[in-house]
Amino acid sequence: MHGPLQRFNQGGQPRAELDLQDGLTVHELLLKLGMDMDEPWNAALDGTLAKPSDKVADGSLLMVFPPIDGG
Amino acid sequence: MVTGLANKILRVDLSDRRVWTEQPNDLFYRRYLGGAGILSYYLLKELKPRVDPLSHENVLVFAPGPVTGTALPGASRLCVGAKSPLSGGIAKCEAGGYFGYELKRAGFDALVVQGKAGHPVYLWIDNGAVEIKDASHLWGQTVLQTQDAIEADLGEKRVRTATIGPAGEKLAAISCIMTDVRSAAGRGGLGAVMGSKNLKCVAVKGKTAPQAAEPEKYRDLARWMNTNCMNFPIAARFHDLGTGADMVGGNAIGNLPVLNWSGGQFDDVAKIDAAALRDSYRVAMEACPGCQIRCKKVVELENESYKVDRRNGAPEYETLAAFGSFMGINDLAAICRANEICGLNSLDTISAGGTIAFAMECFEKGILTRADTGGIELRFGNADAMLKVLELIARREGIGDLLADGSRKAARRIGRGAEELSMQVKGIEFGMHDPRLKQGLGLIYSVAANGADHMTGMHDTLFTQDGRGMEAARSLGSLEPLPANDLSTAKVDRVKNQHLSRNFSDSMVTCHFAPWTLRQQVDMIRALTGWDYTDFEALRQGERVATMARVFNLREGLTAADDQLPKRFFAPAPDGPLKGTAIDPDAMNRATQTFYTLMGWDPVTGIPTQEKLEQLGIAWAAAETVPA
Repeated sequence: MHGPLQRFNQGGQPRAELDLQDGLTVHELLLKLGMDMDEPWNAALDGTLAKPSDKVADGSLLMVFPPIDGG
Repeated sequence: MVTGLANKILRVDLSDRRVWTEQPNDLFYRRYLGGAGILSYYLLKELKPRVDPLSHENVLVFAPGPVTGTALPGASRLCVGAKSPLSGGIAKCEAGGYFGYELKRAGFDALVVQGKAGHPVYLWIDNGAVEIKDASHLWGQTVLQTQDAIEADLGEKRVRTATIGPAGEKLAAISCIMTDVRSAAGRGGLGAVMGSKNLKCVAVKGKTAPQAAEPEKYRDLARWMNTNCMNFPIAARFHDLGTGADMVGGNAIGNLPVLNWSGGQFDDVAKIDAAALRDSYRVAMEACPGCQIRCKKVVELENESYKVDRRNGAPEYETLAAFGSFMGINDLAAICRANEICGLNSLDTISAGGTIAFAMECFEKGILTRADTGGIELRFGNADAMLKVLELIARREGIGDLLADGSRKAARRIGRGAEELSMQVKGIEFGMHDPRLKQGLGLIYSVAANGADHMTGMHDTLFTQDGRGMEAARSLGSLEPLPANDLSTAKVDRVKNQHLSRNFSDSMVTCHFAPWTLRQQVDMIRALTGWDYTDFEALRQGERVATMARVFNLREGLTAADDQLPKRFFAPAPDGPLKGTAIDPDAMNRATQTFYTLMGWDPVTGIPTQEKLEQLGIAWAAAETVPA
């Protein structure tokens, strides 16, 4: 978890390893972490932009961060 | 007279040293509003078609917005424009800092400069009084030296300035105008336009605060932002780190550009992002007037291989990427120094970075050799070489002279396949966001009048899932999340509406980082002027500005054929998160035609219809639409 979204991870840690049930989606995983789904976010699932409905497989790496636009 | 506005446009003809003011009527202000609207009006009305952008016939416009100069946070910015020497079309960009704020408080809604001075001059605008002063002793000085010299000349502190450095004087088409030393009106070569007029600097002090028609309502808006600003994630994030805060994430999904768009991922991203800057060279954060976000980083490097003076600011995201991942450089000190060289010399960091990355790829492919570079080993990842070439560009010496007018012109001169490596639209190098990931942004890069500018369009990844991030889309009638690579009619409609919204904001010249909604910006106008302004009128203003810019470009000879992304983006990305991803050319062509249609432009030629011009109240521009 990156930036302000880190506060939704266990104890505000940047990384966590989780044992998950089969078939959990990105959206469901973030809900399980207690994330406020109203907050803007993007995620990379195993190195590509994730959709909320993407399934998280065993051994997957999920990065969650605020969207980036200008600057 | 419109309450809350200065009701005066300052005009200066440098050829005959004439200064006068115009007092447009209420309808003018309601129709063109400010910033990009007033700027587009003057460029269309007062430039003869096809003038040389570096001749005395070009017109340079500095235009704050209607709310600039008031106590509202995020309302101090300035819009600057002219005919671009880089694209041949319109150049329009916005800069932060205090210059716009003070220009408005000096009593002017805009400054329009024409002609060419016989020798270097600067303008001194002191709360309504205007002088053209000699700047011969300043010619050749850096932006920072000029600031110090002008304050000494005038015996004043905190004079707000819009200045060019040596690159602007030498008419580099990738030069910019620096405001208050550290901010830039970056894109399109406006520094060269200023240099071609022998205008070194505009210095301003203003003391008269605009008075709103409904002061209590106006104060309520400011109070609301001051109370709620930090509840918005974007504001809190930029308060902590400034831009460049989420480059690691951007790298993970393929947004971060790598090696002139030829690479896929940058392993050292965490060495060059805003967090790395905070943990190394950052010494302060600064703000524009009244803004709590304080997103402007300040760095100081004293004991490093490269020295950087804190008065010259710090790299923003675009600069961190342009001189970092885009060139394969992981040396943060070198990136900070590159930012300083650009600022002191008034070079646009995006186009300078894009052009050097282009030259590096040419070198890697043997199209340029050490004989061309004067012995410099101009390879990706070589920070010393990057800095040497940047200095040469600023002085227009050696390889720097070839590159000073941007990658498109350099590629045409070099030949031998270099054109394929020039990554730009209409001559304007890309903002640092990959259009293969954000394909709606890719459409805007393609069709926008001011080229591949990342600030005139929406960023698709903001609207890929439900939540607060969708608010801006919903307020424009676009209700459902859409994939980042989608180019359906629904996406094009969203792209168009966001483009209109951004063009309206550029007429207000409000900051995109301050979380004002469209409705709140409308409320600002109502409270400031007393007009019965509406959201509908705001979007129509955005449409008017986008269409006027389109008309300007058509008049200057640009056509639908110029609305094209480089071929590289239509081939599968070779590596990284976007590996195998390409933009479908047929889908992009359809999206382009849909965009034209939704804008009320001819679906094939992109020429605005007579009906559309009449609807927008700019039928007078009709004679300008057909290329000669």
